[in-house]
Formats: sequence, C-alpha cells, structure tokens
Amino acid sequence: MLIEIIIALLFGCVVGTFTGLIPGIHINLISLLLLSFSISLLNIFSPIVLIVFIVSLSITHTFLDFIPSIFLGAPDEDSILSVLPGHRLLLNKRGYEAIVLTLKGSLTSIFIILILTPLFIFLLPKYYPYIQNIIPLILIIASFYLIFNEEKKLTALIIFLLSGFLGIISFNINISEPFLPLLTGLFGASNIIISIKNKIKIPQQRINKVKINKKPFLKSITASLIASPLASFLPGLGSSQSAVIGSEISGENESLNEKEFLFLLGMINTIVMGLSFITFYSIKKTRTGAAVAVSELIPELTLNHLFIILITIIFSGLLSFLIGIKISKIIAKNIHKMNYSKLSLFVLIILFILVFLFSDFFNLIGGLKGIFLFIISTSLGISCILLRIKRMHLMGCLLIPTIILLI
Amino acid sequence: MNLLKISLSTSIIGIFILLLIIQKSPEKIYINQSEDYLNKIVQIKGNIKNIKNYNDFQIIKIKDSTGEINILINDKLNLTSKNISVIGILKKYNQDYEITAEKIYYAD
Repeated sequence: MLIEIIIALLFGCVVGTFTGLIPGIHINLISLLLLSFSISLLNIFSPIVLIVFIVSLSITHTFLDFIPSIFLGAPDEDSILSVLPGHRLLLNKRGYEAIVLTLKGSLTSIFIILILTPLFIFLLPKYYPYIQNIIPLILIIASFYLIFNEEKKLTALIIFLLSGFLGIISFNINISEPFLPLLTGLFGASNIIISIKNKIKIPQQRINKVKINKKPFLKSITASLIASPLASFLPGLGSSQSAVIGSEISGENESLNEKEFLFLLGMINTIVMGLSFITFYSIKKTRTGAAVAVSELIPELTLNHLFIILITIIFSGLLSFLIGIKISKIIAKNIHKMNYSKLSLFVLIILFILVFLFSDFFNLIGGLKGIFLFIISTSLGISCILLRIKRMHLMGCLLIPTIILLI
Repeated sequence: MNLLKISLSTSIIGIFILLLIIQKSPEKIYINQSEDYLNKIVQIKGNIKNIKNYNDFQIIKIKDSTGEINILINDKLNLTSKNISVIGILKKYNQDYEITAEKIYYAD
C-alpha cells in the first residue's frame, strides 16, 4: 500500500506538471475528467491511492499554472491579477523572478495550510452555519467594494453586469463544460489576442537569484491569512479578488509592491486548494473540483485519510517547487528566441480545439455553442483590457449567478 | 479604438443571441439516457412512484419505460396527477442520477 501511495504521489506530480503548463486550463476541468477516470479505476486501486493522486496533481497544478500565465499571457481565472505585475516583470527581463516569487509563495502556503488545519477542524463546524446564512450578503458587499474601489466605477459596473449575464447564460447553455469557454475566453484568449495585436517581443530574460526580504513578505503572509479563508468559503470569489480584499483589510495594499503581490497570489492559489480538502473533512463542503472528486471517492474522510492528504500536500508541494524552478529556468533562457506572436497564435488554436472538444465531444451543435460562447467571452475580455478595467470584475460571471442561486 | 468598438459590440450582441439560444426548449430524454446528459437541462416524462417530504424540499421518484430517477424539488408541491413532465438539471448524487427540478408540468 505504501509503495502504491508513493507512486500515486509521484505520478500526480508528473500529470499536474503537464496540466499546470497547459495555458487556460483550470484545475476544476482536470478534476472532472479525473473523477470520471478514477471511478473506473476503483476496481484496481483503493480510494485512498486515487485520492493521493488527485491531491498531488491538484497541488502541483497550483504551483505550475503561473508559468503559462506569466510567460504566455494566458491566465486562468485564479491568476488574473498576476498578468499585470507578472507581465511587467517579464517585459523587464525578470519573468523568471516573477515565477520564482509565485513558487515561493506556493511553498510558504504549505506551512500556512498546516497552521490553519487545526483551526479549520475545530472552529469551522461551530461557526460555518452562521457564516452560511450571510454568504450572499458578503458576496454582494465584496462585489460592490471591488467595483467602487475602481477609478472608472460605472464602466467597472457595466463590465461586471455583462460578465454576470454571460455567467447566467453559461449555467443554462446546455453544454458539457460551459466554464471552459467562459473562463478561457474572458481571461485567456482575450489576453493572447491583445498580445498578438501588439506584436509583443519578449526580451532576453535574466536568471538571477531571487532574494526575499523577510519583513515585507510578512505583510503578504498576513494578507494571505485574511484572503485565503475568504476564497475557501465564498463561492464565486477567486484568488485574485480575495488577494485584493485581504491586502485591503490587512491595511497592506498601499505598500504591497508587485513582487509581494505575486508572492501573495502564489500563496493564495495553493492555500485555497489545500484548505478545500480540510474544509471537506470538517464541514463536508467542497469548494474546488479536486475536493468534489475526493468526496466522490470517499464520502466520509477519517482523521487517518486527512493525515495522508496533509503528507501528500507537503511532499507534492516540495517536489512541484523544484520542478517549477527547473522548468521556468529553461523557459526563461529560451523564450526570447521564440516568435512570441506565432507561439500565442498556436496557443489560441489549441484553446479553440479544446473548447470545441470539451463543449460536447459527440455533438456538433454543442461544440458550436461552446465556440460561440468562447468568442463572446473573449470579446468581453478584450473590451475589459482596452477599457483599462481590472479583469477581476469579469468574475461577475461566477459571482452574479452564485448570488442569484443563494438568495 | 476600433478593436474596442468591435469587441464591445460583439459582446453585447452576442450576449443577446446567447440569451435567445438558451430559451430553446431542453432535450427530451428517457431515464436510461441520463449518463449522456449529466449537468445539462433535460425534460423527462414519467409516473410518480413515491414522494418523500422533508423540511423544505421534496424528493419524488418517477419512472418511465426505461428506469427510475429521483427529482429534487426545492419546494413542497401537492401534485394531483401521477403523470408528470419535469424540466431541470441532471446531476449525480451519491452515484445516482437525479434531477433538480426547475419546472413541473402535468403530462396528461
């Protein structure tokens, strides 16, 4: 059994590396595929072995998904805000540094997950019923707070509402994976098209040792302690929005520079994933697709299962950190040699194919509906970029349907 | 500026077209086809086999010529006919398929 668990952990890291490096692919989509795959594997492997594989894969994915976000400009919805500081560093020959910062953030998050685990186990069951009743109200306040913090408030509100409409449509469009065209269009393809249009050329990257001063990064850790539970409890609220709210509440927003912000985003991305397993253990709520997959394999987790999950998080995190450093170094050394526009175009074509296939594999009409939704989402994403509105307002696509569903 | 005009108008017109598309009636299926329509809006016609009442919801089991399925209703209905048609999202709960009902009609 131990050997099987170790192999599952290593295999999860390998698969998670591939899924993390595919631009625009969200871990929830991978989890859904895994779930259908895992149930048929239950005849061969025990559920805990499959759970170790899923946990290891999803943690590795959260470490590595910043690499395409920063190097290729095709973010998923959990790393939207990373585009600006990440791309700024990339164009300043510091793309490698940007990745290392998110990786160090993700690595630090493992300690934070371990610190928050007992709190989640003992406090969540007591207080969640009270929090649950006010979730729609918190989401409404959070949405307005983020909109009114924007310079162009009316434009931000219009983008937020249009995204909301698009979200409601996606929930009802009757295709297999409606969130793939929706989120990949809003946050991925739109960015790629802008970078193709602007004929971006990536300069030769510097590979320096990335130093982290303890004091400023303690601010990011404080912000993450506020932001992570928000993203863990509140459906529809992404890592980026939680990062902004967390840094505002902790009073650190003024002084969080781009390096600290990338570190914070890396942390939140992994903490949200890690805590989703703990949340499932303590209150039976599944906030991520990976946690849903775990809940389907073992509906009642024991303390022993949780212990194995935590060990998996620690080891897969350490391994992913090393893999991430190695891969980002290779890409950073070679990215200036590539034709960035051709590379972006290639990624865009891949996204079109993925959207078509996953919208409805066996039905042409379903596939075309997915492509149409993808084009409209991409257009809205482009509008948001050109109007110079923060792209987190596009998360109205999840927030508005969630608020309507909960009211 | 041109790209902004194109993208913004495409978004707004596209959202209206998509709203029209989703108004289209759902897929009418038999219960044994559930596997192919997971997370989609479907319409299933069948006879009520039993009704379980809970605090604020109801679970109705219906059957057609191909099988049985549970219907989750977030309300308490007093159904007067046994033959009903349900529109809702097909989901999986504890390895079984179920429909979260959005609309229920009397089929006869």
